[in-house]
Amino acid sequence: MSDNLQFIVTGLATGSVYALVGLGIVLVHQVTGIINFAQGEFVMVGALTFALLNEKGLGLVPAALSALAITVVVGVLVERLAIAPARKSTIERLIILTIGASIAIQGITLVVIGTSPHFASAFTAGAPYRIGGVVILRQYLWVFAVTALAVVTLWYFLTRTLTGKAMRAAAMNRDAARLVAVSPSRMSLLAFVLAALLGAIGGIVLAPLQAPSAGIGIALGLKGFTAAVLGGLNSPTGAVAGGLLIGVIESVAAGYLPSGYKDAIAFGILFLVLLIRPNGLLRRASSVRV
Amino acid sequence: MRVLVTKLAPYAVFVGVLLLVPAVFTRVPFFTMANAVQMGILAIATLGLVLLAGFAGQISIGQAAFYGIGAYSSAILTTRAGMPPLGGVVVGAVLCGLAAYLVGSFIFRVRGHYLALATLAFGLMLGNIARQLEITGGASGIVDIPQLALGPLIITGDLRYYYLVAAVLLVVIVLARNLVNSAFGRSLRALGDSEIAAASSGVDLARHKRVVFVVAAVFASVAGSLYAHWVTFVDYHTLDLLLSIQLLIMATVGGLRTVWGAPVGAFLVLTLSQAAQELLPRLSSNIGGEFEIAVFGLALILVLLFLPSGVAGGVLGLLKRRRRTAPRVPTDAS
Amino acid sequence: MTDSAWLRLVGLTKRFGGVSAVDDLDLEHRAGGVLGLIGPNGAGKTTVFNMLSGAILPTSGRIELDGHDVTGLRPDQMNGRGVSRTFQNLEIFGSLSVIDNVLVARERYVRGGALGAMLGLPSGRRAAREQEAFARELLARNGLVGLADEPAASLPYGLQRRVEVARALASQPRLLLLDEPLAGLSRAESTSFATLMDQVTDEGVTVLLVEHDVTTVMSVSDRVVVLDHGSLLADGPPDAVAADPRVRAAYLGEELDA
Ligand SMILES: Nc1ncnc2c1ncn2[C@@H]1O[C@H](COP(=O)(O)OP(=O)(O)OP(=O)(O)O)[C@@H](O)[C@H]1O
Ligand SMILES: [Mg+2]
Repeated sequence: MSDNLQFIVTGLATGSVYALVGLGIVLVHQVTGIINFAQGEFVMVGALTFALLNEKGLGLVPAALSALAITVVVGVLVERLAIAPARKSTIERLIILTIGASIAIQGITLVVIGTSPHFASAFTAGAPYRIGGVVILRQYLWVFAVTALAVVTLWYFLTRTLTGKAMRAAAMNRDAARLVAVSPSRMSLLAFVLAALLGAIGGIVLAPLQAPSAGIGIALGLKGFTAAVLGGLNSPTGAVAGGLLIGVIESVAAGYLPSGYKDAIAFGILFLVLLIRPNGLLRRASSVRV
Repeated sequence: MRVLVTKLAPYAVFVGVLLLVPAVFTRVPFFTMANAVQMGILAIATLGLVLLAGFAGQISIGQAAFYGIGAYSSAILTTRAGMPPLGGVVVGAVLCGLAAYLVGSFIFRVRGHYLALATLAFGLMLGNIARQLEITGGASGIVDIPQLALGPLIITGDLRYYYLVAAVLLVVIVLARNLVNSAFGRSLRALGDSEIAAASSGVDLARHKRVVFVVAAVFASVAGSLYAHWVTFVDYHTLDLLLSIQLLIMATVGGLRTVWGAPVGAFLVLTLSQAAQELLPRLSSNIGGEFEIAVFGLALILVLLFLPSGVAGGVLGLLKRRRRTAPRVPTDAS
Repeated sequence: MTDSAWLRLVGLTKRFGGVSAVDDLDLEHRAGGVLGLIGPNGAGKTTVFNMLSGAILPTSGRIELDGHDVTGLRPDQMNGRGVSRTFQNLEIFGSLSVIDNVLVARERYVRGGALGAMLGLPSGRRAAREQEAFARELLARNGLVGLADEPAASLPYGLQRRVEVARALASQPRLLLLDEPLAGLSRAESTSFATLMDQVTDEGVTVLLVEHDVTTVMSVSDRVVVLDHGSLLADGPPDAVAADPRVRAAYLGEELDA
């Protein structure tokens, strides 16, 4: 029993990161219709920058802020250099462009930084807490707190600020948004910036738990897709719930299955949900179906 | 008569090029016949992706899965069930066709680009499973796959194998062109332009996309089988995500809206890759494969931005424009 | 009256988030003639078309055609039932030639299967030639003579509109939905439209016409329905609707006096 509890706590921690990645994917998809395959690389850039600077002796806050800034720059570059110039192109070409961006980011990182992992220290030092038989790393608490803060801030931004509302309008109906003077180009840039921020935040809180290297983007991006798809690819709340769910499922299943299959679980879930409920487990069927 | 000539002219040119390859590849130091075989095999796999992404507007990031199913079918059936190589090729193709049909039946019920995600998950899942199962030889794969034989004639050596691959490539290109130029293909291009207008004109979107997905899967499977019998060895790397992405790059660089994009893309990308492997270590000892990934990513972006119809598409466009500005001669069929 | 209804909308409703684009709409129509559908911007006209053509699912309500419930059918199935349409924001097949745009709507008559096509079987060839002849004639009737082999994307706007109408007619529909077919066209181009409407209705096609050019709607329609905020505001013969004070207040205003 306490084994299961332990798996759940661990799963919720990694699941929080998946939730952030999934949120980034949903935002970009809602606003632009693009499935952004570079999202996992945003997480990688954030995590790796943070860990590298941390190794170099930079403190938590300056290292984290630098990582956020650098990831946002990468996000802006991807949007302005690859996506924006091809705005008039078909969605499938834009998706291929994000795949290109994803491997370009990964390749450049490999060239600049190399393949080896880097280590970040936990945000606060100290022995883990023990409640019953369950071990709770201090970093888990940071993960939960930061994720909650990010989600609440994003929710506030989208529902309470003018820009956020405009962004939701753009997501609702891209033509209608143009009529009320919301520039789709600006909204697309904003979506990529937010996606990069969310990815970087996920990467930074994850770094002390799982030493990041240049290759982690693919797997994290996939977990993010699974989270997003569980929620139907268009629902921010769904993505958060989906991320936590996939984290827990993965963690519990890994406790019982041969270790080689751990990754196959997330892929399997993603595949099955897409086949059976492409509009998400957590959402009613969409009405547009052409 | 004239119609027949214009119809066959592209094939004549292509056959000419295919026949020229051995002469060039055996003389230029940079290339080997093994390169040519590889280009041919990957061109076959890429062709399906061109139809899928360029004509049906759907992306697969899991073509390597079908390539792998073909390769493993050939490997398992010939080494463990004693089937003749051709049996493996056929079974693999049928399996892939069925899998694609099933996946397509579900995925294309709704509009969107879910296929990209589903194929990605499918490919990664299969790669993971192939590494675990005993029947696929686990992480070490399957060795001693017999070479292909046509009756008593065993096809050994890269040169002979090249002719075989070139023949298969020619066949699939003819099949693909026939499809694209049929009424079915017209509807495909239509749905690439506007799904809603095509559907409202009576085109069953799901059926059209599914058919192309099945064709793409079968082509990839045949390519995978050809690969397995050539290197006589397969392991889970044949199912790798990197191969799926490489095929997508070939299709895009070659040209998504013409079947000639597949061979042109396979040639260009493999040449680029070969060049990177040969030249980069000479420039500096500490750059290797990483650089290649970055180059591929950037090449993909640059082509999509500056040559959206790809190299083959661009060249065809130029030819067409020249024909148009040339003084008009009557081109009646009679 | 009820029994002779050929097209029937029952409580048809479409909500987008909080907005009711179409709100509990009831409508019955007999086969034949032109039914004008007008209303201010955002009244829900295109949304009605989208539901009628199967592009979107109604939130609730029913669509009946010729006594059959056709609610929830896909666009291609609606096309098979004899419904075809044009689009307010042109949805031309830009990479196809003009004649190919029309021929897409004829695919079901040449279907030899994808496999047959790949193998280059000659089975479908005669059917294909027949369809081409059909398409050329249709292009001629729509004032597109000599343009058959031009890339559709290269045509000027007005001609692209005609290509869309020709494509919609190519399905040989029983119900033709025209969404602002005159938008952006010159006066001269608009005049030939009345002739086309006569031809089409003479062949027994029922036309549903959405159009902002009220004068034309009033002159070609046999019956006019006014939508406002997704519900029915007025319904009747053109003169009666034009004289209706609520319609004048809500929408037409000055335009009609001119
Ligand atoms: N896909 C959609 N998503 C969200 N809202 C929509 C969508 N389509 C239409 N609407 C909204 O529904 C309402 C009705 O729109 P509709 O396009 O049917 O009006 P219309 O009568 O055709 O207007 P117009 O004369 O401008 O073409 C509008 O408020 C519009 O913003
Ligand atoms: Mg409208």
